[in-house]
Amino acid sequence: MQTTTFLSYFLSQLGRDMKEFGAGKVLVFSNRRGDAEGVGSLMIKLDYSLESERMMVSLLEEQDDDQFYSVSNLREDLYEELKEHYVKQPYTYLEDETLSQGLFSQLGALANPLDKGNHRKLWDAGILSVRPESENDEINLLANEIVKILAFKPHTDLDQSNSIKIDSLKSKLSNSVPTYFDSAPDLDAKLDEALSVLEQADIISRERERSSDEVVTILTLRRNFLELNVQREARVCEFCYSGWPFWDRSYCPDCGEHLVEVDRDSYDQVESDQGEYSLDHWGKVVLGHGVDPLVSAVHKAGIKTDTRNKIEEGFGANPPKINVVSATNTLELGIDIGTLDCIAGLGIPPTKTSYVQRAGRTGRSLDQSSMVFTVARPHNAVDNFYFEDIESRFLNAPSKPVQINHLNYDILKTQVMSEVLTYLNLNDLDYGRFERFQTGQDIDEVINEVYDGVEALLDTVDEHQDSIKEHLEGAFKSDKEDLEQALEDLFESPSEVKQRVLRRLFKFYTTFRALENETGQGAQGLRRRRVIQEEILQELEREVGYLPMLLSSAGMISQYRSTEDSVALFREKESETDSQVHLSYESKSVSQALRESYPEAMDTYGGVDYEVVSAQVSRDEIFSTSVCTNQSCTLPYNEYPDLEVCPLCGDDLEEISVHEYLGAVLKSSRSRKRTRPLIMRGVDF
Amino acid sequence: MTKFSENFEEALDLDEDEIEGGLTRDAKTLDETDFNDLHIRFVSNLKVRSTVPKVEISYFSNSNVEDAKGDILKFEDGEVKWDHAIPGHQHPTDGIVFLHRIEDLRSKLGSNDNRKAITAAYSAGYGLRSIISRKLGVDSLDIQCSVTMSQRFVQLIVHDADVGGAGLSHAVYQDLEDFLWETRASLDDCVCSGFCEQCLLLPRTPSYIIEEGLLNRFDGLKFLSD
Repeated sequence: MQTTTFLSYFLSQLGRDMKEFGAGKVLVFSNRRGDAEGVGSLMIKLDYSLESERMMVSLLEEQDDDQFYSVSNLREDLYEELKEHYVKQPYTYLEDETLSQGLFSQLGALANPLDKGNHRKLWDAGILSVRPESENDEINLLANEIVKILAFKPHTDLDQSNSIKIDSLKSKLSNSVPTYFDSAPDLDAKLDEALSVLEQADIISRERERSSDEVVTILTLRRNFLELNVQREARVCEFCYSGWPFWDRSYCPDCGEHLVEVDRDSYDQVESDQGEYSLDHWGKVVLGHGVDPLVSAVHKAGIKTDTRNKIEEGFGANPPKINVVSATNTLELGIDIGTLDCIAGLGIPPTKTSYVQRAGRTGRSLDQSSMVFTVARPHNAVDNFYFEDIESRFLNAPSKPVQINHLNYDILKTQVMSEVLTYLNLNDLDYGRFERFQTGQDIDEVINEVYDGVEALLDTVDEHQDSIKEHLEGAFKSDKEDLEQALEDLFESPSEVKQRVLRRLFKFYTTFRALENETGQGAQGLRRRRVIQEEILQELEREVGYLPMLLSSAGMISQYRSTEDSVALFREKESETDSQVHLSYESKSVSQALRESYPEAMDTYGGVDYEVVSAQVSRDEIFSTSVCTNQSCTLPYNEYPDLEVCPLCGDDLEEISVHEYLGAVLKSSRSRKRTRPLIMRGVDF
Repeated sequence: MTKFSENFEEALDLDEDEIEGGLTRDAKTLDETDFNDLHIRFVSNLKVRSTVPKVEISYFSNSNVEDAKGDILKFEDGEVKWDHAIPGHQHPTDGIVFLHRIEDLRSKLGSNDNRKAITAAYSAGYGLRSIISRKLGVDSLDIQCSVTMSQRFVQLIVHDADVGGAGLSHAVYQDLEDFLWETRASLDDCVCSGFCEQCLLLPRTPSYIIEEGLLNRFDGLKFLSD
């Protein structure tokens, strides 16, 4: 089992226990962003899915004899309930479109009792079934099987989901059904009976269509009329663990093995040759407890301030609105989150200082004990090394000193940039004209406004050059020559400010153009769909509408650690509720984006899986080199610019030509595809 | 005043100088020196490169490696044409290049195995990073190293991790001999059998470095010795 999967299951249970015995707060740290996102997303997938099942069951059991839930009504009510528990209560009002849309769409899928990925196990375990429509249980069983096939099994012969040709249905049933009945030849007659029962109840419709020479009958499931039942008692197979409502014989209709009758109201274990065990685990988990939602969230760099504040607020509240937070070292220091019950760490922390900081987030109350645990990942060599002798190598090892970086010319330049902006602002030199750009109604307009604003900035600096120089000499102790050089590089033609801002806009435009192609909409088409335009404009306004922010994302003003350039990412997602396509724009540092949004990549954001449909690169090559592509080599993908064969494995090297990465278009995806980038890192001079 | 976006085509056909010019600076060797068998250069504007040439794609238990295809947007006769290339990026930084003749290193290591030569270079690099972080009081992640081979040399580059450089390798180069002697002493005096967190192991060492056995203080010592 993967460490993240294990941790997610474990945290779900821990979160529940802590709700009962402590303040109800669990914080999990990961060393890498991807791990934090993975743990958080899995928590949401596993726990929200389980709770949605409990809520579904409790809604179904509330129904009385006059008012039954159809799949569609159940889905609507459940969706509202899930939204209330997982979005509205914990976050009250959330501005982050991507996150809330992501959550809403995920909850939309969870609210559907016929969702293949989430709830099929309820049907397989015999917890959910159709309402019996016939006096004869054999017919009811067959009707239940027909609905399961229509709802869950893939029908490759037809385009539309929930429909199947009658012949395909028969062949699917014939794999297992002959064992259902004593007289297999009887199947056709019984199938007809079951179908007409379903048809009378409007659960399926039968249509005849002409396809080439023959007439085929197509069956379609009508969700609006399908009513559901919860089975508190069922027979469960000891071998394949399938549950069978409407079946009173002692053998499994599917595999022929022995069936055990289970009562899901009691929590009894099943006795067997191998000792006691919970045969009907899923039934007991779903039906054995009341609804007990656990809210989890991911806290990491790169999320919006609004979201970050909501998470901190919800987690800090007492009682907490968010119970489990999966974080990178963003929550390590500086933020007060009150009493915590438990700190979990995925992987040995990078430094002991970091471990002490993380552990120090808990254990702040003398009368209450807290728990700190660290998962040493079995497949991680560094974790293993420390784990072998954790006392002397990590826990009792001396701490490393604090870090201070030295200044150099590039850093000086970013400081000069900030100081020039400060000067213009303080001296009221029409600073407002280029500080905030009018972003207008249209992407073209925004870009032009920014372009004009930057030109105006350059003109103003040019006009007041002498006084700016004087101001800088007073503000910095640096060499006069260095300061003048920095000023010249930044503002005089070819001005680095202008070049880098243009580069940002260029990246944005290129990727935006690719997006139009991917969506099959030209610029005009995208513009017509105002909703899309507005969503991107809002994001764009945040980034390029404010000069310091724009310069920062272009690498002109030093951010926390680096002056790295950023790229443009567009995420496209079809909403579950209104079938509108929603788009968001994100600007990310180029190295991080390349690691996560490379061609073909599957990327997770806000609990939703995205697939890269187009990664944009520049037309011109930035470098070419020779790499070893033998995967079993000691250093696969290492570069050897001057060689023809790999010095380690002797394989021929492959010459690759590399173009600059500009950004990517991502679409939400349900694909089971998993991807891993094979990264080459090197240095050349 | 020129409009940036008269239309999309013009925007994409912007003069290349306006987009790229001035931002890619040429590497410059600022100083050179020798230490034992090493020829050492202090270089500014080294190009730190990163690319994803291939992608491993798996569905359940099936997996295969495919080329990473980035898209190039092109306009020809008013129509969009697609072309593909590998995505990557590079940024400038400062660093120190250590060149060791392969023949000499082989005889010192007593082996013709290139793997051992690469191990020696990596170990010297990690040892040096460890000493730099201790002496300058910086995070070891702020200084990185990279190893490759050419026809005649094994090449170790120790460089600033930050884009544009952070002045660390410059500070190291000012007292290079001290740093190298101290690294040698640290590798020599350690009591571990190959590597440990006192001499070579750094936070976030990639797993493959340890799994492939590319850290060994005895080999690293030979890289830095006569």
